[in-house]
Amino acid sequence: MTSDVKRLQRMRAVFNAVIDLPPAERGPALERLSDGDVALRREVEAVIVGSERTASALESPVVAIPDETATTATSLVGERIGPYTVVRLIGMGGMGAVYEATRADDQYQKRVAVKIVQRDIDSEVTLARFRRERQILASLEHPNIATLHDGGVMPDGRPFLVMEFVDGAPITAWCNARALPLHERIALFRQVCAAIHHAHKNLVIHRDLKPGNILVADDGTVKLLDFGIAKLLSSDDADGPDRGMPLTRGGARAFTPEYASPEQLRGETLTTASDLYSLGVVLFELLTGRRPHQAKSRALVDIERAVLDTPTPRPSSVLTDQMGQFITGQSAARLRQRIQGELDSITLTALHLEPGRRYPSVEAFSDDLRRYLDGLPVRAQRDWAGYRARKFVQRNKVATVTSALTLIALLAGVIITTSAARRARAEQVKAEQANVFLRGLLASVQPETGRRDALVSQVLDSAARRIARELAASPDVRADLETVIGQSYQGLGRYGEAERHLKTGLLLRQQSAGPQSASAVIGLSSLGQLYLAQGALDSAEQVFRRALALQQDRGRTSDSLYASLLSNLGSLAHSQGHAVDAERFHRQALEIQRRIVGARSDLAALSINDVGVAAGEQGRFAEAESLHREALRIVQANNPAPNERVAGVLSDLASVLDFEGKSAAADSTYLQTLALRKRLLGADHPDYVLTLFNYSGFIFDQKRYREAADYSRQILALRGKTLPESHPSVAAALQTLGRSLDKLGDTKAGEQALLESLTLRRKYAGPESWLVASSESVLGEHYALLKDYPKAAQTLLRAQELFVRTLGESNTRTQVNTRRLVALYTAWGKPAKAAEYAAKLPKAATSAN
Amino acid sequence: MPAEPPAPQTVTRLLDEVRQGDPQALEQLLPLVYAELHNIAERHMSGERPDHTLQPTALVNEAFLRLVGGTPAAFNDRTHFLRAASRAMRRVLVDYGRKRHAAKREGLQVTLDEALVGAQSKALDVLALDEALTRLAAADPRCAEVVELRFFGGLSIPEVAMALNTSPATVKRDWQFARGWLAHEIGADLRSAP
Repeated sequence: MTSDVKRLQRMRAVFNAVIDLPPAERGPALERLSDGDVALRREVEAVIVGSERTASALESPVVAIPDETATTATSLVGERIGPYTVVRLIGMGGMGAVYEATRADDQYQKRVAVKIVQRDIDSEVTLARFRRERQILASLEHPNIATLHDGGVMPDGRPFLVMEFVDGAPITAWCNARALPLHERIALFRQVCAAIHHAHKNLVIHRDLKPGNILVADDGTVKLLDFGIAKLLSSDDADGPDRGMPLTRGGARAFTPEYASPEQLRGETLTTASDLYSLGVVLFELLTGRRPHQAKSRALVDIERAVLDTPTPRPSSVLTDQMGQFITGQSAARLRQRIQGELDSITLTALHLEPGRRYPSVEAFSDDLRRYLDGLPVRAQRDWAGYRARKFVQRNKVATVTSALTLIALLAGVIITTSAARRARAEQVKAEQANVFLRGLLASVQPETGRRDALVSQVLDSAARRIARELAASPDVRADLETVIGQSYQGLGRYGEAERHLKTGLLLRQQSAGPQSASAVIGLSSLGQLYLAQGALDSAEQVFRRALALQQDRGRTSDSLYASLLSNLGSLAHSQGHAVDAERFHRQALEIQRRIVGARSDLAALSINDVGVAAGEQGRFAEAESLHREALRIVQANNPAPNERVAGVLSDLASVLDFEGKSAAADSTYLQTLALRKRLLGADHPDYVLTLFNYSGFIFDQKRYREAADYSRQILALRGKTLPESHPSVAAALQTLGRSLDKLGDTKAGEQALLESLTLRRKYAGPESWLVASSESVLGEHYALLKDYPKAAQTLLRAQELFVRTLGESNTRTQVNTRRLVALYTAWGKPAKAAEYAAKLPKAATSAN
Repeated sequence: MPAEPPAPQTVTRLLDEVRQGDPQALEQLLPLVYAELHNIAERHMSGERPDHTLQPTALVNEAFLRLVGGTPAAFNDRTHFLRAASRAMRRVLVDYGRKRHAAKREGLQVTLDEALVGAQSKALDVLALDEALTRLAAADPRCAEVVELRFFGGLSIPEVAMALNTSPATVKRDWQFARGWLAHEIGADLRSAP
């Protein structure tokens, strides 16, 4: 005991004496101070390595409480699994437990690692998949990959894998502890590349490459660990692509965000290019002693922001004197000189944000490094010089929250990610306030109170009541939450509350992140979307324009936030009746989305759909139909379960089929949409109402006037409730109601409804909107019905002028009005006038009406 | 544990006395904090959190909120409280480790891996940590207390420095040594052959 104490004190003294020395001088100093005591010297060396390695972990510890299954797992020590005797637990994680074991019936004691996969494997599919995966991994024979010896299923159904036991240090720590020179670092790194390339050839992606999974043994042999989360590249993957990868352990994912590729951070489907990126991060760290991006915290959002918001620096530009000394014992200037140029290019090529612009394979990456080592010109394109990193802020159109659980998950997501950042900054009290807030929220759910969105409302109201008080000390957490709460209210059609929370969110964002920040732009965009949904078009335009200008000022005109602003402006232009503008905005958005999230993403599909709507508005129905169908195929493939995005696209498809005169197809598509939306949203939701309105118009055209009037009244019953007076659906429903009543013979009530519709549109859509022309056109038809020809002519001509001005002469809506003029002048007995307008119509259409 | 949390006044009064230099007060505070931490841990482990993980610092802070209340307390109060709570936290966790797996060494697993969010985090035994800390305390008591305050209490370096009445640089150096030594001790222990 006393000798133990003395020894420790001596270690401490030696440690204190050498720790501040540059690594190159540590060795000699240690030698001198340990005075021939080799064991002491080694121990101090180990302490130094350890003190560098575990820094972040000890500072944010997590204690895992073994649950039922884990407890049984723990009791495995001393047990036998097949021919292996479990010696001890090495580690535990979300995926299961890893034990050290020995092969008992061997004449020599072979050490192995046994990994017991903690997952539900009762389904035959999962089991078959596990077996297949195991088989593939077992075939991954490579001297630098920890071998998979064996595997099987335990009596209780848990699958296990038996792997080579590896004793080594993470590659970065190993190199730094030895102050390994640059060339040797690269040579060692190329061993890693060779192993990864071998796996890639066998269609296995590692998915979690990081120094901790790249161990180097004392003799300098590299071993790659943990192909455990690797999945097969095959397309018949029963578990589907990664996009739906569930979050586990409070937002944790089965990868390490600091080394994850941008596509992995976004949860997209991965290819070998993702491993290549992670390797790039490791190389960067080997060259400079740090990773390319410095996130505010380990929270996924912060890392995502760091990776996607800031351009990747050249390794030579981040190298500090201290680091140069520390990692290779050379002066930084020397090292910088050697990294500058070719190694910069090579590293940045591996670290391209776009997978397609990285090296085509790990082999090509490694080969370029060989060329560097051999003094040959490298192939890396130096196109990074003028390249500005793209930023990615995923803010979709407002998702409609359909269950209390989804809502809580959404709020929890915000809290967990933002408060993880807080923990990292050691502001635990605030973080914990956020958690207490969330717990309170969970407690507030009373599942027995029937209706689905009643429950959602309940949770929301509870969140809204508590947020200001309980999160006063955490304005950034609160800002995000206010926005989510506002969007959720908007999803429920409760616009008043939505506006209050979105405005508060915006204000807090501006205060905590700055008025020019991305966060503020997101706040503006969310508010604009609310105004748009409400039909407050001027306010929406003002807000979107402001957001767009801010993005332009920030030089961010090709990221997804910019794309989403373009989409919003497109939708706004559409609502304003400016179809040409709308198409232009949507196409710009689509172009950006194709580039940054892929042509098969939901976002791209929604833009395709938007372009379809704009094409339809301009009378290009066939094109519109095919665009809607293309969008539908993508969203249906991405969202197999009933989903609002699918409903949205279906709704638009129904409209265009209706316009095209494909009545049967239109009818069934409308009904399909209505059923889906009623189920997802409820019958008083504005989006359900929108489809209902479209359907009522279709029904009207089918001459089913009584039904059309009923549907319209159903919509108008929500006026002042979930539909504010300004909502476009109100004026639209009034119009259908008026026309239906006219047809049913109640022209007095009909006229009243039509006049009201016109008034509302003048008030809310602005005088220069085709919507006003549309109301006037219908009113003109009404006067013609009443045989008040002068008044009818006056009204229809005013409408015609506005239609031509806003939509153009050949637009379908203009043509509908033109046809009304032809009909009027014919009825009025003015054939010359009738012929004049008939001449403006396309030939086929002239006879149609 | 059915016990009601003690009234915030009690804890606040004790903290007051600690601040005024009464060494007895800290001793009286400890059992209160211990009981509260125990309650919270029990609740967390009884299934409120499905992931069966605890963050000691979060528990300590929850205890602080419950015992002292959400009102912003004087910075000193928080430091004194956390010093007591860190010690209590260590005891809570060690007791748990002992109780749960009396016969086995593996008890609570404390992750020591960099990849807290990764799937394969290495975990270290809280009992082993406790034992190592006791040994460290014999040779270097301040260094051991730094670990206790940082690891179990979540105090920042300046807070530890204030609590121990020393300079942040000293705390930093202690912390650095402790990190390396613990990783070496417990890590080596984990990896060595039986």
